[in-house]
Amino acid sequence: MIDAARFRQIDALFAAALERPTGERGDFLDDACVGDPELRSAVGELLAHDEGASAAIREVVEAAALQDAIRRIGPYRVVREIGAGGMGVVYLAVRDDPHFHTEVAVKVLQGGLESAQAIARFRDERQILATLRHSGIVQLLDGGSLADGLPYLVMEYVEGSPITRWADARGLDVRARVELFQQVCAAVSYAHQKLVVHRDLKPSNILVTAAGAPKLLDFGIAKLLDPSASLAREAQTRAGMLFLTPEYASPEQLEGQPVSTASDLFSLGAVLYELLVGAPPRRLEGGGLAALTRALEVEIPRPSEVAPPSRRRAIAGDLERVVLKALEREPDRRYPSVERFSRDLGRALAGEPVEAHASTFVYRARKLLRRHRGAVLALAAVLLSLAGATVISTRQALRADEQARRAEQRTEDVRRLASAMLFEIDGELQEVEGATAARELLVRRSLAFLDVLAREADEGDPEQLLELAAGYLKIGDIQGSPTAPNLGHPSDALASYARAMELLQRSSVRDLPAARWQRATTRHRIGVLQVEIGEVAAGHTNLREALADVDGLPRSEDDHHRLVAFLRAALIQVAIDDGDLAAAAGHSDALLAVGARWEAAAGSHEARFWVGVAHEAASLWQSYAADPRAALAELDLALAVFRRLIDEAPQNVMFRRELWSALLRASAFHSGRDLRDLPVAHTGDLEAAEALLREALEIAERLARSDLLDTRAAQELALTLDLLAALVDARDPAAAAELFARASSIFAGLPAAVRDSASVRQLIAAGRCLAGVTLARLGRGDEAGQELAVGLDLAAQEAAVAHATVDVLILPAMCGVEAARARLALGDEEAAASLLEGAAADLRPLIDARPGLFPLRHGRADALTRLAALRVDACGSLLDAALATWRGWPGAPTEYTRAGEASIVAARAKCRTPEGPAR
Amino acid sequence: MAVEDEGVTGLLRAWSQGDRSSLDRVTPRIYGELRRIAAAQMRRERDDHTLSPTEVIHEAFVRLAGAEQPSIQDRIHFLAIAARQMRHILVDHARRRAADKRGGPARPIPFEEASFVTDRPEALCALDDAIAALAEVDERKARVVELRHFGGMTQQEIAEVLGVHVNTVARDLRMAEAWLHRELRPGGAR
Repeated sequence: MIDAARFRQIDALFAAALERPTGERGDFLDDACVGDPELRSAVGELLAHDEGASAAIREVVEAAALQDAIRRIGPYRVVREIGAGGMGVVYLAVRDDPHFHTEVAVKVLQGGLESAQAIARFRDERQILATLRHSGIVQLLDGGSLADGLPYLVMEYVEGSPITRWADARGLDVRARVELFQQVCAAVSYAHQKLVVHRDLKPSNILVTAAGAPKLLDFGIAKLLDPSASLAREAQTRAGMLFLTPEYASPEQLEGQPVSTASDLFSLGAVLYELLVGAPPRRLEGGGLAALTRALEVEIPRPSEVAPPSRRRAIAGDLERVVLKALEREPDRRYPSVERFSRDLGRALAGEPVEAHASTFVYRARKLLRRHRGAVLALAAVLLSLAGATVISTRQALRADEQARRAEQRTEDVRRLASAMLFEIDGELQEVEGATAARELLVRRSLAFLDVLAREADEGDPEQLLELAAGYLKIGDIQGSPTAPNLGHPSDALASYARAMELLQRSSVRDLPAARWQRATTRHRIGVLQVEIGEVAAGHTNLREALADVDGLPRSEDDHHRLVAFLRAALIQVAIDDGDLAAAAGHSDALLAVGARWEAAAGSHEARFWVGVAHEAASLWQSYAADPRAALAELDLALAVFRRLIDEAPQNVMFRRELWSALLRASAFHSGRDLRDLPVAHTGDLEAAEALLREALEIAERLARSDLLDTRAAQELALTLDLLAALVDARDPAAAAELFARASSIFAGLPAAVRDSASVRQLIAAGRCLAGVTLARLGRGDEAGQELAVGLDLAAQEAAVAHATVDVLILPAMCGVEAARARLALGDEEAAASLLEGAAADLRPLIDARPGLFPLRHGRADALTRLAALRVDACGSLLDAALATWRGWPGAPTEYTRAGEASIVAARAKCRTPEGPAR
Repeated sequence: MAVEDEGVTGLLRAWSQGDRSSLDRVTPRIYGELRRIAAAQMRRERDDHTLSPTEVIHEAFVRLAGAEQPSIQDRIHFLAIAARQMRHILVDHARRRAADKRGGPARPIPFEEASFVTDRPEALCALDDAIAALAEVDERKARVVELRHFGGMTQQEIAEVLGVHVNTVARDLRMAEAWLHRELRPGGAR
């Protein structure tokens, strides 16, 4: 125990240290504790524990209070905790009923079920699981959710030990082990016939009772916990993997692919392998995704080579072949069912020929079929036509009063089907490259359902209203989500989002947390879309309100981080348009902080993805500042994140998109030509710029090729082509002209609604103006004139839209500079000069309104410098004006601004004009 | 009984004016009320949500004050007493849960992975021990932490009840929290 005098000494020093700036505390303590290193380290440690101390203590107190409250679960009294794990905590409990003193196991699952939808799904799944009645499966008895939202399941309480330990404890021989295992197969096979997949089969989930009967635990529980099965894709990627046990999980599970009975079959194979060999087929060194990926590459050792010597002879040959067939990497090469697997085991034990020998022809044929993407789409179409029939019959049924009850049932069916289509089928389709046509159909059909349901909706049923709103939100996302692959119908999307908002504001749901959450989510989408289609002021308002709404709503961590991240990202752009770089930097820092917290908490693909996006977003506001190196440093971090993610999840479209966009940005900081023709501070390393753009082009080509109807992919490809063209223009104008022509034809091929959206018109305008320069260089004056006229006209129209964003406002001036370059190439100095004059004049009020945005100054100084070369009489005054513009930037000078300033000063010195040299 | 009829606010006032015996009379009533609310919570009679310790205390005050018009002073004195009671109740429960966990071999329903919501009553017991040890060398700091974290009192309120300046409370609290935080780090408590 420390004595009081010493304590006071530490206390005083601690207080004194806190009064000093963080950076000086170390030195201060060194001075104050000379000759007393123990004191130095005591205070140092204390300072290290200053941050987060209050929260840590609060957490301990509140956690204890919460546990006090959890002693009772529904009608069950908790006896004690019997286990805890990734899924939650398991308690031994008894039913508080004097007549039935039954012991049960109650599992309280981690993570709440916040939306009405999630609760409904949980209930449905539970009902399905409750129908599993088999002596080999632990019976699910009951379930519900605690007052604070934690769902719980009540199960038969089984005393037993894991199958492997049980077999070892009794010294079972190979035959007895296989026969015991076959009982497990019977139980799994029963569940598979009821279309329930276990998803997490492993020895610890297969208990054997004292009587020798195996019992399967946790059937289907992994699915209850898997948000990707219910929520939109945003929650997807790795989420499902949190709940599996990598040693026994199938390769497709580890890769995040959909789970089927074949995955259970693999896990069963792994359990049998361990029963025979004494160790699982794959062992993981260390944790993390990298370990998983490595594990998949390692070939499974032959059981007869690694099993205990006494068992090797019995295992070698057919039995081994059967085990390895169950463990095939490709699902198609495994047994088609657990029953067939079990039967083959029986044959191996009896010495009969086993199926595992059979030809691989069937396998090859099936594989070919599966590889054919058309099959997926055909399946979706069949489901959709079924759903259509249900809607019609519902309407007919509704006409007949006596059938009202059945009609109600039908409505329920339709609702379930609509939600399955929207949330499950679309989830699958979204990740499939090339599924746009199917999604279009999905939207049309689902919207028809929802409209019927909304008309019949019961005002007093909040659950129904919330579900409908979620449906409209989802449809809006498919039609034109600002954050995910979509069909490119922004105005349809806005209409759907508006329907959702209307439902969410009805009096019976208005104040529910779930409704408030959905409103914030919907508002975010609306806000971003409004900005995108040019309704900027309304968009800003919606985004800010959404951010204000999100705070204080109890949500799962992933949901919360995701929405806040989306909002911060959108607000960065908003701040830039206001000319407020400090605010933009603030949002950018907040976004980085969200990403870092999220990554630390979840480490999921999605969390890491957002860390990448945060770095990319930091470069976004930096493109309005004057430090290309700082921006490139952020982008290097972003590129590294995205590249790794793509390595780990090569199928994910979103990761590729984001890599593409980061590549484009990085190239801009080398070439000076931003995505939207913004004149950004740059390194001038054109080779680096081109290399980055070529990599981006490869990605864009791939995405566009894989889905010819994905309009976003097409826009991205066209934009990449335009930028590459502008870059190679000086070196090879002929090649540039071809690239421009290709981009132009892609834009022309977009659906009218997409082509007419503000963001696309902006891209087209910039591309046309750039192409004009190339055509002029090639001496194709007429075509150049045409391109420039179209480009300038479009740019002027877009900039005239009320509340246009700053990158649009600058467009006419930038186009003017391109037009001047084209005129100059065609030898028309006078036209060039007057275009440059116009551009410089156009930029001036923009600079006055947003003095902090560097590109505006960059653009104007550039125009003035070019003009000075043409107007020799006014050379000095023009360059003085350029210099003033350049120097007027309020930001701290950077290497870049100094170099730029020096070059203007140098040019000024060379002016031979009556005005004389610069002062 | 006469004691039951005495108003809680009256007792609090008497105590704050130096009448020690009124403290002995008011404390059991506060304790009883806190326990009643906590027990109701355990029986899940409340369906809205789980009350935090601070909310439990607040509710107890509202019930005990009843129709009386309590002053801000009354409330502060109440909180000061309730904070200690709350600490006792929570720690008492935690120690029993910790004993439960040790008693009897847990039958295996194994979950190998780390747990998210599992009960760690040991954490609160360790905190309680650390606060007690802190009181040995600096009683006021220990009391400040208790009032803040078990009574949910603001720094201003704590300053008033202890009769010191609010800056002193802020300093005490920061030092005490860092101290306890260090004691609570894994393997750090001695």
